[in-house]
Amino acid sequence: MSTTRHHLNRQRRLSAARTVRAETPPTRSAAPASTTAPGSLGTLPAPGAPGTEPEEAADARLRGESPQAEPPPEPGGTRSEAEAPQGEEPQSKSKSKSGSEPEEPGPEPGKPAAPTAAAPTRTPRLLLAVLGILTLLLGAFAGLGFSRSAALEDDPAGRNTALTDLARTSEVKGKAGELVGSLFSYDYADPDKAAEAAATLLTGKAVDQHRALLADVRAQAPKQKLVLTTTVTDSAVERIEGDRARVLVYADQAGVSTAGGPAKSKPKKQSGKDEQPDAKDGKDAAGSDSTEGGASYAGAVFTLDLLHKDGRWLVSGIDTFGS
Amino acid sequence: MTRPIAHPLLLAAVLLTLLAGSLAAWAGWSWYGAAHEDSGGYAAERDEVLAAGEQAVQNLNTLDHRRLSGGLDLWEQSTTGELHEQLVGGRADFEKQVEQAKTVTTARVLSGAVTELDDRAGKARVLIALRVTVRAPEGEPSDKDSRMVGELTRTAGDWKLSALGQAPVGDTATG
Repeated sequence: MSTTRHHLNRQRRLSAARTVRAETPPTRSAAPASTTAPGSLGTLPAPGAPGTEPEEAADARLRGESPQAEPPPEPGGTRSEAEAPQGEEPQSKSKSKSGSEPEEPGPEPGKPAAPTAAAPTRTPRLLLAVLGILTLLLGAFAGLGFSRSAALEDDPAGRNTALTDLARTSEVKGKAGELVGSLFSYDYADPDKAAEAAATLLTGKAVDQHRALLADVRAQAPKQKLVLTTTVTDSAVERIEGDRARVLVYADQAGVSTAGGPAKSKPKKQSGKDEQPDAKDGKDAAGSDSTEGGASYAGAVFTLDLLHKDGRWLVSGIDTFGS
Repeated sequence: MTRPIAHPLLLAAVLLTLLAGSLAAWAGWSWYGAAHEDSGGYAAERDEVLAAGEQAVQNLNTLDHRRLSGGLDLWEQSTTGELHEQLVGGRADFEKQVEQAKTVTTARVLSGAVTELDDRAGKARVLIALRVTVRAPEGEPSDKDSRMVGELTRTAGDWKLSALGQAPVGDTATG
């Protein structure tokens, strides 16, 4: 026990002597606080005489805690800090540490508790405190800044690039027009074309939605020799978020039936209804359907969800606002 | 300080502070960037236009014969320019018509989107699909869908409808 301590102490003494040299001669502990403090505290702004005693007492108390906070394998000056608690029993043997005995009753203000050991620690303590507060403030600002910028970027308005990305917006609009033309047109003479469009341009729930919308058209087209052509007359991009987009479409559906005169307008309307039942109804009620030169026109309104997949835009959802 | 090697803790603290400082700088930069991104402001304006347009179109398709005056005031508040003048000019006649018909008209926006937005000129164009329900004293209420096309103008910071009409049918169809 005593041998290891002795050994440790000698090491400390040696290292202290090496690093501390002139400032901390072996007899340093004997020197009064007032004489040593100025020497080692030269850079401290407030080493003023009035505050010295209580401050150092406080330091001594603080030092009691310091060994836990500070990394253990430290040579030199910090070692001298760490001595305070450890040095109680064994240091009394070593002559250079004889002064550390008074450290034991640290709280006593009257005795300058290892003033020389306290002196070098005060500068870093204050600095550490300042740095710590600075770190906390900067860290708090960083946290605030990141969260605010994330909030701003997460803002739904910012995520939606409709209109803000004009190239993408017009691409989506153009594609929506092409897709509507392909998917909602039907020629009784060439049903394979419509089938192919449905097979290649639809994905997800749009497959079933499209099938339901065109069911009647497919059923009636052969009988009525129906040619249905759907053209987008106006559209607006509601949202674009990455690979997904939603477009509001106003379309005209022109139906031409060559099966017979009187049957013309009715089947066409029906076919239109089948595609966009509510829109059709609305249009009928609004009187926006028209018949010109043997073809009937019906206005439709619906939204398309588009999905950009493998370099192509596909329809992933069709909403005709059906009730 | 006089013996820097003697205070690795101090060194660590300085490094931590520097790290926090650079993080703070980075955060500040991205915060500033996110807040001043031009498209962000434009996107917000776009959404504001859409909200104002949808509300105004809904207002203009909502009228209760029992609360005519308030309803028509709202029509006038929602509009500006020529449309506003038309509404003000035709108000008296329209009031008579609705009082006789005793209809209650309500509207629900199905979907809407902005097609054009010139935020400098303060002009925008919107498409708004609307389902209008008309209840007359007799008979079932009738629903109809309207494909509205509206033009909005910014007046004193607010977007108001300056034109409103139904999308035409049959114009562009080529058969």
